Amino acid sequence: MSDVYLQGKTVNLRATDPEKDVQWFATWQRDALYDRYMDSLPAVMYNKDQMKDWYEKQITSHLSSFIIVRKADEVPIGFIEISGYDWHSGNAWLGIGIGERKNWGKGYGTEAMNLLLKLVFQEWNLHRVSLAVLGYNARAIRSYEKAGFKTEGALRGFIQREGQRWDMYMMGILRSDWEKLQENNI
Amino acid sequence: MELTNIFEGERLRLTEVDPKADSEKDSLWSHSIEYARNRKSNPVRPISALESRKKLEEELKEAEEEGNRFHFAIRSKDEKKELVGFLDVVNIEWKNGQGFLQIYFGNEALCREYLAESVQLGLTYVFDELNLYHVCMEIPAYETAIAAVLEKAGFQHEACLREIIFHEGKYFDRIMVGLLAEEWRSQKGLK
Repeated sequence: MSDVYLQGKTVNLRATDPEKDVQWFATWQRDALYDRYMDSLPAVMYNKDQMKDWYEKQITSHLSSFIIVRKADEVPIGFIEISGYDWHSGNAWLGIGIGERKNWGKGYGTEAMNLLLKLVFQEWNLHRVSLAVLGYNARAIRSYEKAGFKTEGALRGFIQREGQRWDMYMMGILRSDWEKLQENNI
Repeated sequence: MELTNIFEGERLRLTEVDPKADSEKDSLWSHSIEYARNRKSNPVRPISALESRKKLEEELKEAEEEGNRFHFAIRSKDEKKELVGFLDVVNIEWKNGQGFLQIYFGNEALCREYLAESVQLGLTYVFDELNLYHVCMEIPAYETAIAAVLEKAGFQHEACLREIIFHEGKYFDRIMVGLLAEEWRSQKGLK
């Protein structure tokens, strides 16, 4: 299937199906560490129905969600999503998560990010992509930098976890940043 | 202990939003480009009184249901009780004591006149009443006069989102400024 897009070297992206994929989200959320890297809001447990309802609601409110599938064994290992579009200014917000700790630090996220950035810059005509990341998530920040994101500032003491205050880092990549990276990679 | 009326400033009062009455002015103001940009009626366009009313009603309903935002109309303290703008505290994360303060005025003259006082009313509300730890405000980079007022109120530059705003065929940055409760208190000489 040469016309299938969103294919990388080690991972592919496919559409998230709330009905089929809730089992994966339900598994990934069991690790509180995963939840607490993902979001500044309280980590919670959703059952499969809640999870499916949440996803169905998100889809209708313009969230584009993809499942990251490892090519070697075709197992879903995480998700990546774009939301909060501002079409006239060409901005949208990105979220990404790799479910299990054993799959962290292997470059899967960076590769998924590259696939998605290519889609949103070359097909969707976005001008920039934004994201917010918790200050203690150094691994994620490194991965975003590798994909071409620049740190644009930090909201001081935005989040409290385990008795400490942490900054929320604001990051962004312009299409021009991304295009420069592509030239350098050729 | 004698409590202060935190909704009252020198010339202004924070009051309830009245969708029926306030939508008339909101609609009128939205025909000026500057107000439309600040009001984030995305993309910029004039809105009718009916649409404004529905939006204001929807905001109040969501505030009630979700409990993470508060909406006020800023009015003059005199008998006219004239609407001069809106003040919202949105996206509150109670766990983190974090929120965003948004203030809009009907026009530039009102903004010049009343921004500093409104910011103080907003800060008193978020820190002394809501007990937030940190509050953020967002301003387009070209609004340098507004940035100066916020800086004087103690806000610090925290982030600059590059080319995230589009007006008149050009991209502009958005500045995020923030203030911590402890900074605000020490600035006011309170402990």
